[in-house]
Amino acid sequence: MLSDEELEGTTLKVYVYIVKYGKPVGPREVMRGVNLSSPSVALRHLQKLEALGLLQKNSHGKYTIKEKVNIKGHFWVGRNLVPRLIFYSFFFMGVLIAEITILTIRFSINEPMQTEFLFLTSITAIATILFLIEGIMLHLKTKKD
Amino acid sequence: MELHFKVILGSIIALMLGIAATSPILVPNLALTTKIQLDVDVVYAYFGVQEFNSQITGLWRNSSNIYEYDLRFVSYFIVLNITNLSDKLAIIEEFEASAAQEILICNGTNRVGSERLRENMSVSPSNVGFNVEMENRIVTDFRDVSRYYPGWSQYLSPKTSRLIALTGIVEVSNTAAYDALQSGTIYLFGRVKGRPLGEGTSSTAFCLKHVQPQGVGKDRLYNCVISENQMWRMDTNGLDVYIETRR
Repeated sequence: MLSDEELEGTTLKVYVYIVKYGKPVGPREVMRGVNLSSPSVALRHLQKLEALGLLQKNSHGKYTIKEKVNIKGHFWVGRNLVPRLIFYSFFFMGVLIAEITILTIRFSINEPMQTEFLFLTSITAIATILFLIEGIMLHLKTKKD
Repeated sequence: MELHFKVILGSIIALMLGIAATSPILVPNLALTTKIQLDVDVVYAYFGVQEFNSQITGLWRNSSNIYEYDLRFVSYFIVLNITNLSDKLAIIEEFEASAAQEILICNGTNRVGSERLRENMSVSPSNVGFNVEMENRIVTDFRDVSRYYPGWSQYLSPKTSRLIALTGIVEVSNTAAYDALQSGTIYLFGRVKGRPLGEGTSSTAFCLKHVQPQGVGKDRLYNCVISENQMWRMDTNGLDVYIETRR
């Protein structure tokens, strides 16, 4: 079991890149793909990942994925890492759509609106927006780190 | 491309889960959109006029009032033809019949009825649903039958009609209203409100007619349903009426 500190930052970015690339990679490819300063920096991260048991080195000196681990706060969607918060935001968006539908129906037939329901709808809207913003920010952070 | 497809798919699934999670409150509200279509027509109206001298002992009301007049009572028998145009069983909740010299109905931004009221009265606000304005009212009778009404069945089958009578007697103290009934044209207004059986929303239908009742002595009659050899028979519930052939 990996700790969060072990797989974060540039190491995480290298790991995600290799998973996404799907083929054996060398330090130079990693350097270009992840925008690292030198092949030696890339190699250091590759070795770290190998030591964690996530990569394995083949006979040509290239690294391949040995194990695809769960990353905290993310889902693997195929070979791509997507923040869970984005899916949570879509879940709340579904709730929000249903609540707005109810409000629209009640408004169109002149049924009384309950203040509590309006309050809950606004809470759902806030939750949707917050989850979406946080999810996008986390996604961008994983890309930029 | 694969990423986009799978992320979009995942997002849609999450969205659907969110909607599904609210289904316990969403489904009953969706059912509220179910409505029935009703129709109503004032097919018969009989106004029996009785005048009493206000000086007669027992009918003397206020001798010090210089505006005191003879008492005028109007007994009425107004028949509504209510039709359920929809395919669902309807529950009748309310109905109403009115007669007045001028009637204007505001239904949203639509205004139908009295030209005089339309020109002279500002019915405000004009965009808030169903509103009836009357001037020189002769009769208004309203029945709320949404709860128990002895002997009355609320149900109206799909694509069927039902004749309902409103009867009573009122004092018409408004001289203009009385004169309109005696010598002029009047407006007849009918309204019915109903909802589908089970979940659903109430809907209202109305009709408005500008008629010149024919004179039967002092009484006045508007009839577009019953012929010479026919007569009304009223149900024991005092609301339903049927047409019978005279023997």
